[in-house]
Amino acid sequence: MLSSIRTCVLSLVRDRALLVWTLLFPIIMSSIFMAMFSTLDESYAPVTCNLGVIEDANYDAAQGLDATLDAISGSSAQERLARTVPLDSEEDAIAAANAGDIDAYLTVDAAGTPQLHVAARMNGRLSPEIMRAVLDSYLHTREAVVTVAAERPTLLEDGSALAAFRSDAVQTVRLQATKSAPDPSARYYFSLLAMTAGMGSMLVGYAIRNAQPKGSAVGARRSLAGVPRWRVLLGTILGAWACQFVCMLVALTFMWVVVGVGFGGSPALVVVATLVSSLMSCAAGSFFGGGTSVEPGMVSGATCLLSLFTGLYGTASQRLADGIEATLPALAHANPLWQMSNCFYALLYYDTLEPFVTSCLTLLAMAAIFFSLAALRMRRLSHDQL
Amino acid sequence: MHEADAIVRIDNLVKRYGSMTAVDHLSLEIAPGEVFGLLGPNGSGKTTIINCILQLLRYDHGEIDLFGQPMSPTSYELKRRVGVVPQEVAVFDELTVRENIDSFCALYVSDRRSRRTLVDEAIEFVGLRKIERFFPKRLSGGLLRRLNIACGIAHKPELIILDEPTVAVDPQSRNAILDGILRLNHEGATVIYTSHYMEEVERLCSRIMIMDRGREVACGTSDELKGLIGTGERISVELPQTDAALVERVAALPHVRAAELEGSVLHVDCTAGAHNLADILTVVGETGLGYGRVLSEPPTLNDVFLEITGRELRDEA
Repeated sequence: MLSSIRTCVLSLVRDRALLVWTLLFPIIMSSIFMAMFSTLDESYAPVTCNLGVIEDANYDAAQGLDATLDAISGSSAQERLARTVPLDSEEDAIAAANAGDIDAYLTVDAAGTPQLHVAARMNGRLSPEIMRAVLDSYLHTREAVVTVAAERPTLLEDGSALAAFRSDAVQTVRLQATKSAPDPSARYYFSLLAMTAGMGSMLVGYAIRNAQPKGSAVGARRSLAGVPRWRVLLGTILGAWACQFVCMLVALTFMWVVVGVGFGGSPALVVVATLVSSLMSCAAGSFFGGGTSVEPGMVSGATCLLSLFTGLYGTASQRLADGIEATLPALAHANPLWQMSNCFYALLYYDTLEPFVTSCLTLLAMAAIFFSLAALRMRRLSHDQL
Repeated sequence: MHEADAIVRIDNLVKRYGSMTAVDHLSLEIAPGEVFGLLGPNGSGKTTIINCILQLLRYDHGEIDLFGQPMSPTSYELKRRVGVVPQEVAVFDELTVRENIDSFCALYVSDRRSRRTLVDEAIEFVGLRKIERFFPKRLSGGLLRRLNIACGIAHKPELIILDEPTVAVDPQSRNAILDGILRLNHEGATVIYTSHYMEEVERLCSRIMIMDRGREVACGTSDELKGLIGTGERISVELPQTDAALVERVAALPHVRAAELEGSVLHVDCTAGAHNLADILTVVGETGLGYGRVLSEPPTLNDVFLEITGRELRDEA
């Protein structure tokens, strides 16, 4: 069996198709993604609003408003949500808005209520909406303080209640729902790894054909061996699995070290995900290579199609993949490439290992099914005609 | 030959593909040390018999024993004693000459050290030492055939089956291959050799089975087979001018089976006789016409095949 493993490894590593599809392809695509996504992070920067502030007597009288604006626009602010522009009058503000210097401006009426005026071009945009939320929060807090002062003035005497109000008044809090910081490009790389595994099954199929009596002349010759055929086949499958695993690992290392893709905190589990993915790819390849009806082109075509549902081809394909997962989860989960991609995704984002384990077990179950079907096909061809 | 002594024994083998019978109630025995030739046109059932012997094909009827034991798809002990050189070159394009031989040898010999020696000997045997690190794509057709043979014989099998190993090979490589097969036989291997080249079979084989449409047409040594037909000698005489009366006179000679003119050449088929050529030349000389080139040939296996089946060996089946 060791000799079969060696033969398989030697023949695959010298096969240009293997090098192209399972090694060069993911590295080249990763490099292209890296160049494409270099500006993607900028689109995830906090949105800043150029806010004109008319600093008249009403503004000065509005209690706490100046401090609120300072909290979101000052240099000490956690997230700079606004860049304030002091103005003398509303006419100046309108002129500045028309000139595009500000996105919105703030006036305070005689009752001390702040009014937000949004430039027409900014209607429906995010930054004025954030300002609106900030001002709502300010008004709500101010009302609460006034109410407490009227009904329970003692609460304000030691200053702690007021501090509590202030702390709740206006603040932005960065909430992280996932274990790692969201990386909008990570999904592409995980899908690419899954596609690499899919393409690898084409090569595994080639190796299996070289061990099948009807697959090729070499396969016919090997089936005359003085050792049981299952040993030759098992050696071939193990060799092909090793090649596929190493190729994926190289691609993954490139993504991690060169591109800077995050894979979560556990390298051992990333290796497990790679092992399981390559095993699944190997099982599929064994099934395809076990017969003569499936051409390599069909395997690569199927891989490209299944990659569509992992979100590899851009935001539209990601929306499609998410839509299918939301409405027909069983269909999405039946896609082995989705499961492979999800293995890495789960490791990066989830606190619990459950999604990762579920994907791994699903892939193992799929691999078992494919291996069983492959065994049936190979058995059927055992002593068939050359 | 005692049944138990036979290296290969096939009894009443029948193999059908649907309504077509590829091998029709064929029996044969091959003794140790023989070079047994299976001769027949394409489609006569030679490769089918080989595949049945190797259990690559299920057959409809019959028994096949190798080395006195029944052969089955899982007879790995028996398979280890057999080497096969298939008709099509079957080697890995991605492995070097040496790696290819080692890879196929490993299917029979697990010990690496013994294998190294065997691979060295096989490389030496087929004369590929200088190119043992070459990949098959760099080899010529003849060298590829030699590699194909080395992959089949490296494990030193007792029975070697060669299925048309010289197809599409240049004459020089063909001679090298045929000499190699004879050397293997002299070293003790029993050989089954299939071909539709009668010259090769005649040169190599100690016993020949002529096949047609899945059936045995005749079996024996080359001389025995030729003895089966009436023609003992074929004589051709080039004449300066044609003469119908001469043809009639020659045809009337004793031992002459047939005489005909083909252009300016008189072809005469004779039964075995000591003075056939002298008799014919005497008759030709008596006409006073004189004669040009004279050729006397013994019958070939093609003549045997032609006389028994009415078709040429190289006709399509």
